[in-house]
Amino acid sequence: MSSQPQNSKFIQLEKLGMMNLSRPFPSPNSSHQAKEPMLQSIKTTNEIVALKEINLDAEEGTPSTAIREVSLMKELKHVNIVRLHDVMHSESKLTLVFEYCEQDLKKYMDTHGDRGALDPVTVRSFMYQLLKGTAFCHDNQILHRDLKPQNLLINRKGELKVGDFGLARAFGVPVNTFSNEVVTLWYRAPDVLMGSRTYSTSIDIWSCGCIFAEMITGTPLFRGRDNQDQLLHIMRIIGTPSDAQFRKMLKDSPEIQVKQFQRYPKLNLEQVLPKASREAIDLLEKLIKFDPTERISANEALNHPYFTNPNSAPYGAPPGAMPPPAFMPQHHSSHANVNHGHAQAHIPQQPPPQMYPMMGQQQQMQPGMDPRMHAPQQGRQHMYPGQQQYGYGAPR
Amino acid sequence: MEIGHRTQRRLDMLAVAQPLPDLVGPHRIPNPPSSSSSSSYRKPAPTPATTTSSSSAHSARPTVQLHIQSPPPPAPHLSPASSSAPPPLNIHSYPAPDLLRLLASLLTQIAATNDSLSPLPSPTSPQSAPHPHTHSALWPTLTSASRIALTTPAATLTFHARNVPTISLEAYLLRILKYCPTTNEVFLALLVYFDRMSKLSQDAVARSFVIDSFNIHRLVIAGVTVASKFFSDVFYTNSRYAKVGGLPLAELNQLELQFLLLNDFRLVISTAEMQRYAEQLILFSSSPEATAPPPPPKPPAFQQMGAIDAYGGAVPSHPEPTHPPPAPSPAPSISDADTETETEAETETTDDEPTIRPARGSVSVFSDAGSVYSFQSSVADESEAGECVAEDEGETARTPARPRGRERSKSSASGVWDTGDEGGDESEDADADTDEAWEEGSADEDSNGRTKTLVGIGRVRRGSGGSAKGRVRKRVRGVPLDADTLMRSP
Repeated sequence: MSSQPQNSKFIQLEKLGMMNLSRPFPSPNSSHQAKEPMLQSIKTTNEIVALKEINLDAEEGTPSTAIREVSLMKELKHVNIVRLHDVMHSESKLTLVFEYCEQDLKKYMDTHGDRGALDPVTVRSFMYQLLKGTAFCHDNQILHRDLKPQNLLINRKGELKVGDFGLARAFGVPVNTFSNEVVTLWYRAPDVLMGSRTYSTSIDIWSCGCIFAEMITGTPLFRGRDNQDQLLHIMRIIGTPSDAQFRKMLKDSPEIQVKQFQRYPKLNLEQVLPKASREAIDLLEKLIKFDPTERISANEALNHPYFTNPNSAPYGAPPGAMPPPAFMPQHHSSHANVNHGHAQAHIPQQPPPQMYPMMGQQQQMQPGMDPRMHAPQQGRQHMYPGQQQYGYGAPR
Repeated sequence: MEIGHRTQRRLDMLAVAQPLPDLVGPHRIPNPPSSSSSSSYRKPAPTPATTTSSSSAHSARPTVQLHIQSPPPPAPHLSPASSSAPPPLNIHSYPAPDLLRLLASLLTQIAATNDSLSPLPSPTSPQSAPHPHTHSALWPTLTSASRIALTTPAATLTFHARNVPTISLEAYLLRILKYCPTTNEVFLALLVYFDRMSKLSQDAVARSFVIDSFNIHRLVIAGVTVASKFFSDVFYTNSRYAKVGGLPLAELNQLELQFLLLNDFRLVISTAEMQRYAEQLILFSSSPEATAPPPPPKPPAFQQMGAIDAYGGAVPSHPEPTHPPPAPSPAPSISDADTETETEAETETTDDEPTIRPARGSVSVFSDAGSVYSFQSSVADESEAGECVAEDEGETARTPARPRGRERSKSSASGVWDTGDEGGDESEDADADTDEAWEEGSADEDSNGRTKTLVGIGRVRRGSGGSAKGRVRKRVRGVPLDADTLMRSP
């Protein structure tokens, strides 16, 4: 029904890579062109946003990925989750206005890592933020179901934000129809590979573990070609579960297919990830338990000594040699929780002491969706404070 | 009086479950400008519940868990049954046909009651220019798309069929269950979403969103489509929903989108909220009136729907993507020709009619058992062999019938009026012919109807009334545009 020219509010800067649904464009809100009558004040920010255009297909109507992405991301206001600012509708498309992040974790690793491997401080920072975002999803009864480096966006402040909720779904309401064709293969949990349809938050935890290892080593942990091959890759490293373990999983999820798997012994993860500290290894082991019920929760993981032990440096560096990870300033998590009924289940984490002062300058988001509501005074020159000081934050 | 009383109860029933604490039942509050004749605006006299502040509406986000309410004031007098707490209800295992019967009963009563309160043409129809409550805390939280939809009457009117569909709501729901099986939660979500829509409309633009016999079917099919796509990993193509719902694909797409916008994409429903609505529905069922309308005699076509019971048993489990619902069986003898004729005739009359309001009779007939009979022709429709889309990674599990489905979807407008075509190629051909012919007639309407709608409303309002031509071909299709007129004109 809306017919106002959507694009007049934006100046196209460049095309971003393909996201799942369509091409998002980063654009500044141009103040002089905001004539849209429904909005009663013009958008004066020069904030860069990412636009994701979704064609309303004649056959499928509004894609389910778009329905989910919008409705779920509207609920998820957290500094570690890509913010959906607005949704616009024009004749044949929906335009989602997202906060803009410079690159995804995959590209970040390619450009900043040592052959993809990130330094320990960055790994810990990103891992903390990834778990924070994941925990927030889970606290709000939402499964992401497609966590992978390409879906984790990194902005110039070094903030990691979970994006692309096209596969996500709410799990509070028990619609008993979970698909097991979720999550990109390399990050797919073994129970899902075996056909589980009753998975829950542990599915995302597995992916977090895979991403964790990948950040440390620079290469994906399990690189299978197909479902079965992926399972074998997993078992070659974390070992083939015992029959008793399989029986237990089968009891939990009767729909899974247990086949005769070759017996692989469990490898010592320290050999697989020689660079990782003992605490990192310990956390990783808890994240990639074969049996989903044994996997640690996101909130538990955030309290793991890997994050909380002030004397432990990631990667076994001498104590004090490494700064604590960047993380979300406290005020973010506090306002991020507003409007969420589930938030009371969200255990506030005590983050490590703040390291990067510029991260405190991030504009406060209103709970609302309206982009004009937030930080109108932010000029582009202020977009990335601390860019210089922030070693790994400036991508280009 | 009787009617007013019933309305109050019904509407409260929906309102009871309102998640927002400060808005226990604001929907259907008369528009501020409406005078005492506002009752004509399909609005019962304000109940204690509905008089709670609506302007203070704020923070749309239902933080439901925090506000699980003890039943609001209206509940006690709902019915004697309300005094006895309903037993804990397992939504998932509740027999789907029973649930749908309750749902249909509730919604039908709401719609019928609103119909009966519906005004004759009156100046209290929706304001032409609703002012957004921009001062409300709610407004800034809305997406741009939703704001536009909320302030554009046409968005709401999209749901308003030109005529009351002849198929009973229960049959309609059962039909959906049969051909697009899904879980009880999806159907229950309808109640939640309808509630949210009326609340949002009231809070954001102070406009009532009234469920009536003209829009309930379209609301239902749009809501099922949206809820299925949101909740379930297994859902169907829109062309299938359109066919099952008996409306053209393009229209369903439009309804789906407007449904999303009018809900501001608030589709998440917590377990607690879902449970509350379910229990309210059960509570309603124990009230005497729920059972008052005797189940209408089942015509042959309806008997066929009886198979739902067997099928419905399987519904709560997983409809496998690879095992789409059984291909709809051939329609039994259907008075297809009759329907066609009837429809055409109706079209002819109404097309040139400046005043689009159907005979009042048709409204009241809606709840008559008799209407069920005319429904059977609708039920007869068989949609294409199940296409079922699993969402993930674009991976789809489609039956081999898929290509045909696509092809047919072009002519899906014929939807409900098809005779069974599921298996037979021979009938397929015949149908295709019919469809095409039909499509030709309505093609421009389909493609342009939406745009026209905006224009049309204005025209009709100004009294020329001639703009309605060609908008409605079939009852179920209905017309988006004329709702306003329908409410106003004699």
